[in-house]
Amino acid sequence: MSTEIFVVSEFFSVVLAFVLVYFFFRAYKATRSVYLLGLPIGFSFLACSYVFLGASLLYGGDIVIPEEFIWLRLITRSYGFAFVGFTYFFSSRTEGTTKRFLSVISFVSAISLLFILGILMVPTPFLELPPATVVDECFTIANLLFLGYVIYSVVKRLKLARVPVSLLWAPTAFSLLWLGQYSSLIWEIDGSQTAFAFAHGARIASLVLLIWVYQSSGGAGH
Amino acid sequence: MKLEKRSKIVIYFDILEALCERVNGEVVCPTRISHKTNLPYDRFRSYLEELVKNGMVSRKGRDLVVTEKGLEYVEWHRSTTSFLERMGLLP
Repeated sequence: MSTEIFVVSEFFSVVLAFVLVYFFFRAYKATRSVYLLGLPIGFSFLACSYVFLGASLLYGGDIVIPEEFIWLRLITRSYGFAFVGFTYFFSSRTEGTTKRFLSVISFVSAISLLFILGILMVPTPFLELPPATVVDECFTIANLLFLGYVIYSVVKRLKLARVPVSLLWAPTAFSLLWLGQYSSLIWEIDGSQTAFAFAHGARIASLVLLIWVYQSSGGAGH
Repeated sequence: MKLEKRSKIVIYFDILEALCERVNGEVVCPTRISHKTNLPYDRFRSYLEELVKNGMVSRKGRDLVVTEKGLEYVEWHRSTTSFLERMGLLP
């Protein structure tokens, strides 16, 4: 029964992530600031990772999930958070942002494409990857660092702008996303079902909160 | 500190917003709008022509009036800016 709940929660996460992709793309269209493309790209990667996790949960009991599949889930998730982090990094820079952002995106995309092609096409004896379960924690720690940077950037910016407390929803949402990743780390270490359930709850709450930030700023009006 | 160049879409918004700020139904003077939006007059004219062509601004004699479509665009841009501010993404 609990597996079905987790699969449904993955499905909701995918839907919410794609809604955010649409909203963030609209925000990009309104300003044409290239660095803002990092958000729709990042949340698309996250949505893909939720699809991979949902599929693992759905079919995990019946078939052995290939190692490459778990690797793709880990990579897409970390790429998602990395792109969100890049967006905040470049948003604080004013000079030459577009050029630098495009360089970083091209570099990261080229590396990722090579890596994914390597995983899918090179026969296993030639490309011996460490077991995904071993590196799982490393990827999650990297995600925590990316999200930590995002939270730091948002709080710093809001403090400088002296915004009212009611505008602290975005850092709250990213903090929930951070807590979700932290719970995932605990689940990866000791297999605690409570931590796994909390990770799902925190993630859905954060995605809903981000959608609410958009709605409350009048973004849904047009 | 050198600032990032404004995109075309932001310039459109700046012009429309400046046109919206008329006081007591006064006739809008193009030169003043070009100063207000920090644009050289020739570039301002070409952007204005595009706005007229897209139906966001209409000419009434010597006056320039923001149309319903233009007002919707201004509102959409404002709400997006507010969203980006709430997300902590505006430089």
